[in-house]
Amino acid sequence: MTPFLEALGTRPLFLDGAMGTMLQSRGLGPGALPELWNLSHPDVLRDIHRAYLDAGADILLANTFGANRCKLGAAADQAGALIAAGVALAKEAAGEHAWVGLDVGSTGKLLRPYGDLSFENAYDAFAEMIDAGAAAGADLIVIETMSDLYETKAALLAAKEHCSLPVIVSLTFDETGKLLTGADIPAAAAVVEGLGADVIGLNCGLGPQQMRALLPLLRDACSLPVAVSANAGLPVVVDGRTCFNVAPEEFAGECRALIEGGAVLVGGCCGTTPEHIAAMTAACRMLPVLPPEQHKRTIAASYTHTVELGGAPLIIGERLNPTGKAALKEALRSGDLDYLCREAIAQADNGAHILDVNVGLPEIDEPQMLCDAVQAIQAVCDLPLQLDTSDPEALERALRVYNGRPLINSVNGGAESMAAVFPLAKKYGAAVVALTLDEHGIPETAAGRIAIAERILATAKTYGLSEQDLIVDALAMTVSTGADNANVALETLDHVRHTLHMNTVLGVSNISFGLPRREKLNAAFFLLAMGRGLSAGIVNPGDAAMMDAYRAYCALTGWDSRCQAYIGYCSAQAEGISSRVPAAAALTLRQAVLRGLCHEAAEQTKVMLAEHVPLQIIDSELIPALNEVGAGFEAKTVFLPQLLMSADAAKAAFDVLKAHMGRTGTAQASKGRVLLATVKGDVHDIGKNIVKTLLENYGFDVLDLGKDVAPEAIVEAVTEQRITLVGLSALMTTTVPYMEQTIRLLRTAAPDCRVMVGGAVLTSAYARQIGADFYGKDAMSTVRYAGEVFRD
Amino acid sequence: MTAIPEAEALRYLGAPPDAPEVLKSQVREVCAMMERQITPRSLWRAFSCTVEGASVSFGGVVWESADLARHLKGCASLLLFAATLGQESERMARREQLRSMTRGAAVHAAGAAMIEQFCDECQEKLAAEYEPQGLYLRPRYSPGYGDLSLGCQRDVFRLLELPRHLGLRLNDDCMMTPGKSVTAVIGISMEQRKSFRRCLTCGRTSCPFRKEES
Repeated sequence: MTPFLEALGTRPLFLDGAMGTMLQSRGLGPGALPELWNLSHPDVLRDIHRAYLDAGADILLANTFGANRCKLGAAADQAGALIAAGVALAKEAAGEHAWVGLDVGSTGKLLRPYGDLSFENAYDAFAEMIDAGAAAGADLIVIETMSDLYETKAALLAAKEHCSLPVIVSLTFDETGKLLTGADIPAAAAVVEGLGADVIGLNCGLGPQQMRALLPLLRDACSLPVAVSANAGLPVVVDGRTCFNVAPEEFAGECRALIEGGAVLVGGCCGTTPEHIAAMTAACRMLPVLPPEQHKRTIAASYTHTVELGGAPLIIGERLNPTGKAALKEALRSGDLDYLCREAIAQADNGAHILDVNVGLPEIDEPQMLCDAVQAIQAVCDLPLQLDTSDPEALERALRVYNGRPLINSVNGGAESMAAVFPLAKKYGAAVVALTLDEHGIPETAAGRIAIAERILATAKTYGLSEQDLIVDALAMTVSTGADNANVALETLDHVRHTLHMNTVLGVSNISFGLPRREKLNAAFFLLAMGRGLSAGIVNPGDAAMMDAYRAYCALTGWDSRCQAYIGYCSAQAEGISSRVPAAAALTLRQAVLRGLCHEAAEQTKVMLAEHVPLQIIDSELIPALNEVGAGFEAKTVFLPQLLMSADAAKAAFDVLKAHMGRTGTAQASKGRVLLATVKGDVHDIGKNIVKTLLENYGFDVLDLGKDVAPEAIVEAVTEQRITLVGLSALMTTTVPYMEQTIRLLRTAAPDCRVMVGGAVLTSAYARQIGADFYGKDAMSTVRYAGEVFRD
Repeated sequence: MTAIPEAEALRYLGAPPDAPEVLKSQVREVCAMMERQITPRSLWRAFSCTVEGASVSFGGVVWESADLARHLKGCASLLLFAATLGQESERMARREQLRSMTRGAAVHAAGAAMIEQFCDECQEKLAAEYEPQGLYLRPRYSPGYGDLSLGCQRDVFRLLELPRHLGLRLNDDCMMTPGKSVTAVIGISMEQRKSFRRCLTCGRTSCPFRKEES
């Protein structure tokens, strides 16, 4: 029969209808695994496939939806056999009249960082399915009913890397056009299209009417053919049983409208039957199909939304780059990902649209660190990221684990660079920053840089990339060493943007290197560049002069409708100033900490540093203030949130001191190292985090293993890092046994290590019973105990 | 939009009755952010049920629990109910904790207040649907309450297909992700009782969150 991709787009193609609904009507019990029937009830499957074929379906989906090792549980080792049998049954029915799709559904697990399944394990589970399905002779891969974009990426990547079959990726959105994990339609489409799916689709969750409303959004978001498999209406629940009420004729009419709206494949999901499919194929068979819309866009996507270059200029935050930043270098060396996350959050707050992430330091494992950094930042910040590395291994590993569709920084006109970067850009659908330099260096003229841009574009095209996949960096070089440097950059970017029709980017602040009052030059150059066609500036969003220039430019050039962003920007600044407590100068540091005022505590610390050394400030102001709050907390005159506010204020002061000590090359001696973890099974970590904050304030070094930590992992960290005090937290009675098990293992592996425990269900008697050395009834008592332990 | 009751958020946070304004304004800010950025979702299904001795059966499952049986006495049917603040609430908790411990704790407290409020709102709507039929709803009762095993969560997840419909996940120890999620049984009976929102039916009389007003 004709290959699927040849038929695609020439006429309406028809997917089959519900499998689960049919199996249940034939006696599959609730909660039973449908795939087991491929071996136990092959005749039922034959009947169902035959019925859908007779109804006119062009694609029969094998009964393999949940045949992955995560979902099959005890039957995991049968996955291959179930898939082989499922595909064989569908092929038997299909003969030469229909294509057989390997049906690939969710693992049913939540991926890290919120769940416990790693991206790699999800990928492996899907890869097993794809291998088995391709070996069994499936004609195409149908990844469907996906509601998590990250899991979808794992499945699609596995399909692309484990077979050469066509791939349909079908997603389940709610009525507002969002996946359960938050992605909007453009973000989901960007990822699916970027990774090379052949068809994108909508299925499940909604009836055909609701799908019709989403269809134009999906067509507008990508250039792929679209498939739609709606439920037979919205579910109605009658005595615990779900029913769908759209009858076959009505369903067929709706499918007609879907094809007229641009769907090229239609089928049915929950509640549809061979009758629905028969009515649908009869009503739609003769309809013409619309070609997909063709979009040329330069897009970056996170797991929630997209950002498009080429409209209003964009801000790419540059702060996550260790060059010239001692504190970030130190954070990278010590693996302090929280520091990176805080920088990311601050840049997002300050108005960045995209964040550049560069973790390159000679002494660290860059591939691993870039992956860790990307995952940590994505757990707290929903901006698209620009992966900034010159190490191809780091780039590819980060491209894999990134949730969304990132940008790459960068490629240059050198043959080696292009050969390394372009295949990755193509495979992962990532647009690339193209530096206008090559093996011979940076051309001094605009003509030289433009020539390189043209060469990069020509080479990119040989890899299947095009104009919209490149963002040309015209290279800002400091005007202190060449009077024409700004002009050359501006001329280059003007030409690239308006003649070559590609997007442009600049590391704006390089223009002022070596000169005084750099912010003045930077802001002026940024304005000039935006005026000449700069698509995105790589800048520090915390730099007020830069952001002033940016907001003003957008307001003045019509990119800021009714100047709303400008007005919002100005009022946020005014609010930031007025919300501070007046006459802050009158407060001492100690008072600021007692009242829990972070800004005032930091400011007062700076004032004090003019006359005192850090240790004096800690001993005479901070520690007494913390002690006073702590004592009040124990006497129940100070409540938990006040204790936290004081801890935050003290931390703000410590941060100022740390930065000062970093500059002067001194360091505060640690009072001791404490390991903290929420035990296996338990996902509640707020209590543990409160303890961590207080311990750090009191000068202890905390190794935080996080939540849901296996006993073995705790023991390993303790022995490897020679930890002498461990704090374990558990909220639920059901997880306290893991606490006990952890303590038991620690007693054998590290007999000198002390263990303190805390959590809602614990008491001192219970703590003794499970063998703990100390029961911390609250955060302050653990601080006191840690003090005793390390005094000994 | 679910409006978060600020007083509840402060109470979950453990704030004193005369909380300082700096604290209240932080909590207010967090509440406003959550109301803006979080869309709670819910799901329920009705089942007929049989309550016999210390066991409750419905939808093909039998739960052994004297406390639940007592709670559902006189109910011929029940609603299996679930609600969640969604993954955004998890992300927000992490993010705000990085800003400051106070904001992190405030997100947890406001999240607890928000999910409770949302459940109450859902239940009020459901009650209004049932009342014209002469049917009344009992207070929500969740796995883990009294002698009802937390393991019953597995049945709830299966019967409501929560991973698929609400994006919820259950780990091997029956903990839910996102953390700010609720599953519960709501009894339906012909007997009209006091409002389901009151705490008076709960056996834990020493609970610091108990509301004594009638």
